[in-house]
Amino acid sequence: MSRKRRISRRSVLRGAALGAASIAVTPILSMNRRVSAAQTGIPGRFVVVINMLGGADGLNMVIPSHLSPYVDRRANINLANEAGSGGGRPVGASNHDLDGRFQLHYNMGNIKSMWDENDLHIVNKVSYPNPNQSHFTSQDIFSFGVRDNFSDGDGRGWLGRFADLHCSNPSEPLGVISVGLGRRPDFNSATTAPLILRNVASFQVDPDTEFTDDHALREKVMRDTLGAEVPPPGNPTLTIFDTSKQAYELIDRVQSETAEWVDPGTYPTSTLGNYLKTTSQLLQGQSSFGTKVFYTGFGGFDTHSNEIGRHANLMTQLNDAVGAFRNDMVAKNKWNDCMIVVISEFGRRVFENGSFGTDHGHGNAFLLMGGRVKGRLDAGSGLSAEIIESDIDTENFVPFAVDFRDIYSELLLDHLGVDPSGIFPDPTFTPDPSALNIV
Amino acid sequence: MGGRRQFGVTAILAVALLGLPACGGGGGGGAPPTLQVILNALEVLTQPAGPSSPFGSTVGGDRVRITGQNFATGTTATFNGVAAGIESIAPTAIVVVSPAGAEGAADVAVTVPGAGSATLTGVFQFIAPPVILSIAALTGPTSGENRAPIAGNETMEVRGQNLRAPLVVRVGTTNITATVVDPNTATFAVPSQSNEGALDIMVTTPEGMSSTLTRGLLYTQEFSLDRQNDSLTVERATHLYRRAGFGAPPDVINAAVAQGLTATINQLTTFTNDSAVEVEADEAYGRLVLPTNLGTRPNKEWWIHLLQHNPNPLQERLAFFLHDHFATSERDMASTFRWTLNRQVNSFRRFTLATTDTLNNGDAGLGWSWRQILIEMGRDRAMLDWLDGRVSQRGRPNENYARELWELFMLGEGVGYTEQDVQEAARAFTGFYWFNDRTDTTNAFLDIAYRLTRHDAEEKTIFGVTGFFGYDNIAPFLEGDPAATTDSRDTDGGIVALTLQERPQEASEFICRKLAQFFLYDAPHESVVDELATALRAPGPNQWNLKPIVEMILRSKAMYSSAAMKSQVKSPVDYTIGFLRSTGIDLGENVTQSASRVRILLGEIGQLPLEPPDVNGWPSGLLWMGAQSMLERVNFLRDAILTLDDVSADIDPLLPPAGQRSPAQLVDHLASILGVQLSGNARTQFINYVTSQLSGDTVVAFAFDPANDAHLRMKTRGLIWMIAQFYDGHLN
Repeated sequence: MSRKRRISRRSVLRGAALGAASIAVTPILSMNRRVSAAQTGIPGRFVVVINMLGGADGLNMVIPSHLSPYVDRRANINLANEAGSGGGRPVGASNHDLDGRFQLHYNMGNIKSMWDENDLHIVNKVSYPNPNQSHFTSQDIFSFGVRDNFSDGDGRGWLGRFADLHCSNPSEPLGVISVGLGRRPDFNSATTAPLILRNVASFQVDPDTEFTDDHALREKVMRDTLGAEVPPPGNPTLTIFDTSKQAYELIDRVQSETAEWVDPGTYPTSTLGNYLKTTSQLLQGQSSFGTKVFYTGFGGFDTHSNEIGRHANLMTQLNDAVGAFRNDMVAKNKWNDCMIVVISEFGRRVFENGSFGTDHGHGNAFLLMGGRVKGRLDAGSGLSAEIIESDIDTENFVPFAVDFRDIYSELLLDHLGVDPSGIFPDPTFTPDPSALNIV
Repeated sequence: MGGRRQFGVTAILAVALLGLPACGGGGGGGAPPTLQVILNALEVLTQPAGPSSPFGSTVGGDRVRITGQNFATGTTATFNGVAAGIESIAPTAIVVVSPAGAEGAADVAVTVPGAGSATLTGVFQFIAPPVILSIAALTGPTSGENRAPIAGNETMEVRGQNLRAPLVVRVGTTNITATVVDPNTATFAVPSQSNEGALDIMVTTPEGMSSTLTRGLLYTQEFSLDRQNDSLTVERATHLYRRAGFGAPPDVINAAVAQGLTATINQLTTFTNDSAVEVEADEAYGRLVLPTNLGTRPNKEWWIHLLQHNPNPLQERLAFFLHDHFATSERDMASTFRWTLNRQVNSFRRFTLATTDTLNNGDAGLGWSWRQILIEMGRDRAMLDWLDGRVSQRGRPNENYARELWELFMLGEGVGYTEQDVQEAARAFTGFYWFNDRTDTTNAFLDIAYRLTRHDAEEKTIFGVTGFFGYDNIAPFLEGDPAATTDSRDTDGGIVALTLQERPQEASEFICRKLAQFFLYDAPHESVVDELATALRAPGPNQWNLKPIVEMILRSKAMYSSAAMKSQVKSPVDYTIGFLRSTGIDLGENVTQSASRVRILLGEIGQLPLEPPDVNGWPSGLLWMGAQSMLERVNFLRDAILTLDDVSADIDPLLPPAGQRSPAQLVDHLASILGVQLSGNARTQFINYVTSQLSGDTVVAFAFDPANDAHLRMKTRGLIWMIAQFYDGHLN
């Protein structure tokens, strides 16, 4: 269904410095006065980051069924074979074949249909140099976008830097939105206060039902007080004040801009289903909000034990929520503006442990989905950095081959149409938005 | 002479007289005798006496008095030919204001119309004045800042101009001789002070010229673990109770102020278990009696009730700290196993009890022992499930617990251990497994047991030490021998003991840093951590005992420093439990209704007890702040004020005495109870709110009558809602 727009930007890039500011950027039309000139990029385009927290097992998501080490070293939990026949796949469940070699998990039917539609690109062996096996250190590396010394840096996260550079109108906190995951370090910013939201319906002030008139006065007094207040100096007080003020300022706008949203009635009630539903609601106000990145996710992927069932439930949650979101986006004519990227802080060990689970690993599979993704019919077959036998026959860790910042940079440049320079200020690593061929 | 030194007179007279013929030469013979100006002496009124006197600043502006004879109207003066300002003229003295001049000696000449000129050659010294531009610490915890610890003794650097030895630096009222490095730089040892605050800094050159940096040096007590003096203000008592007990109502705060700091801390840290509140919680939720009610007992509500109502607030506060530290979730736990979370929480709740004190289920207190709680977690059923200890077995070890024990519970990520150590320790943590208790066939529940054949009893090498290591304590789980406390093959002991022995510095610094972050401020300096950690690991009866450490923190000057007070962001639990404790508000008619409402609201705000997001615990600080969570806090307050429906019963304890209920008195009283510092703007707006109402969209006057219960109810509800959501109310 998707119609790729072929942008010959690689030739443009070759002629230009990495700065990439020479990429033609569609001028922002008079969509809404709130979309300030400080916002750059292609109007309407957006990225949805889905973080599978805990370290998802990419080997049991994009399954190398054809590689014997995968089967041999996961005697009880490989999904190539059924339980009782040398594997752990439930009897009767069928994986989804991608190319005669790799398969998607048996609960990923919706995502397989995106593969068929040429809307899915899989990048494997994603990590960063010298992968760290601590959940929290690795999540920080993903959040700050810097491999080392991120805590000694400027304290900003990659989305915070992105917002500072490309959504920096202080009155416009909607350039990047955290849906459901709170204020992650990714959002640490110098100048902007990103919206941290979970649910549109409850994004309001409940009245004192016994004194509704006096409640209206209280709300007015609070707005007046915050409006007339001299901002307190320094943090944490200033951010608390800003957040309070922002909340009151955004209630009416979020409610009114999303009021026309049509519920397709198909979103599952899971955590991710609710968050993607919220994302769709906020996209109803896209012409006003101009949101470029939605960041969401769900947890439970730290499958040290009894992995088969837990992992299968998580795959179902991912598949059902993303499937509903994709259908909703198609119906609302936003699928070609959409880019979903599914990430996790690390993959898991090649071999199973004694608890029918897997311990922390290194490289992992990222999924990229959207109307403009280069999928199986495009150059590169829709599979980048695929796992080969020598990666896993003796090694304990799926190796690192693709830096996640290369992927992010390509999405920023080729999908959002903004210059990725300055967003990953790592002295030891310069992201290359041409490293892959996803968009 | 006022101590000022005058230039010698005689020689000048001679000079002046020598000039006489030339000056008087204009007249012819027979003309009337001309009055000739004579200069006697010169004195600088605006500079002190000194070896260089008389002198003035190269920038000019000094008042100079010149004595002599025959001064008259129109007298002018020059310094090295540059005109001086004339301030006053009398026949024998003039006062002039020196112009700017180049460094060095200057001639001062005076001209009187009709009386000629006279010059005092080289009589005046132009000296460049000192300037102090900035000050910064070169050493110590404030290095690079214009701040100093109250203990003093750090080297500070003055940056400026024309600094000359011997240079005196005056800090407040203390004079210190500085070391002059070059004309722009001098260093000195900063003196101690007893309190924090800003002081003026003055530098004085040998000539006595000076320069002052007003409030140039900030003293801070944030690094001092010395004892704070014993008198408590309401502000400090409120701060202490917020940090050590979520918050407290006015009567508790007033009692603390009356009895002072030492007695209050003693009361906070030394207590026996309050059986009344335990019974109250047990009666509301059913006492946990295995195996009858293990699947239905609501652990969250049970603990919320205790968090809100336990008269020993530090017991719950530290229990919640430990819950966040050893973060275990019951979210995905089988219903027949959730009772283990109740047991785990009670391990945290008995941490602060004396070893002779027991909780309702008969377990003894842990006497604040860090070693004991670590050992306790190693055999904790919920932890064995949460971090996979129960499925880790010989030959197929699971690394989860070994990794998190060091990374999150004991040492910090990568501190003092290697990946190899993790894999070896994982072998030590083998042996437990699921045990389905079949003794009661109708009420079977899941439990855990330890089987010798599942434990890897071979040698391990950890921290470079080779030995037979295992769990520190496995009682009462060894199959067939519930009395056994260790696996007899593990002759070299447990991993906790080994870690404390081999990595005492790392282990003590890790927990002390976390305690300092919890009680003091977000980024404790290493000097503070080091002082606490040194005490914690010092051999003796209190080694690894956290009570003296917590007491040292709570009574320290650092605890009451401006860096600590209101420096943290309240978590949702801090915010809600603190609000309920400070106001005495309950969210329902009875224990179960109230706790269940709090549980629902905490779920919406995002900090449900017993459901931390992962083993790393909850986020902290500004990570809690977001537009939606702010509105959820506001809506929590809405739900709380809805319960205030009776002035004589619910609201009265929150009000000032009758007769002191003017709008301003109401605002100030409620702000004090809520511990909120209002800005001038907010205070004015809230006072005006009491006497306002809406007419359509317009604000009009409202005839507030404090004797009218309906008025009081409406406006008190509104004020609590507004004051508690003001930004200062979210600071801890």
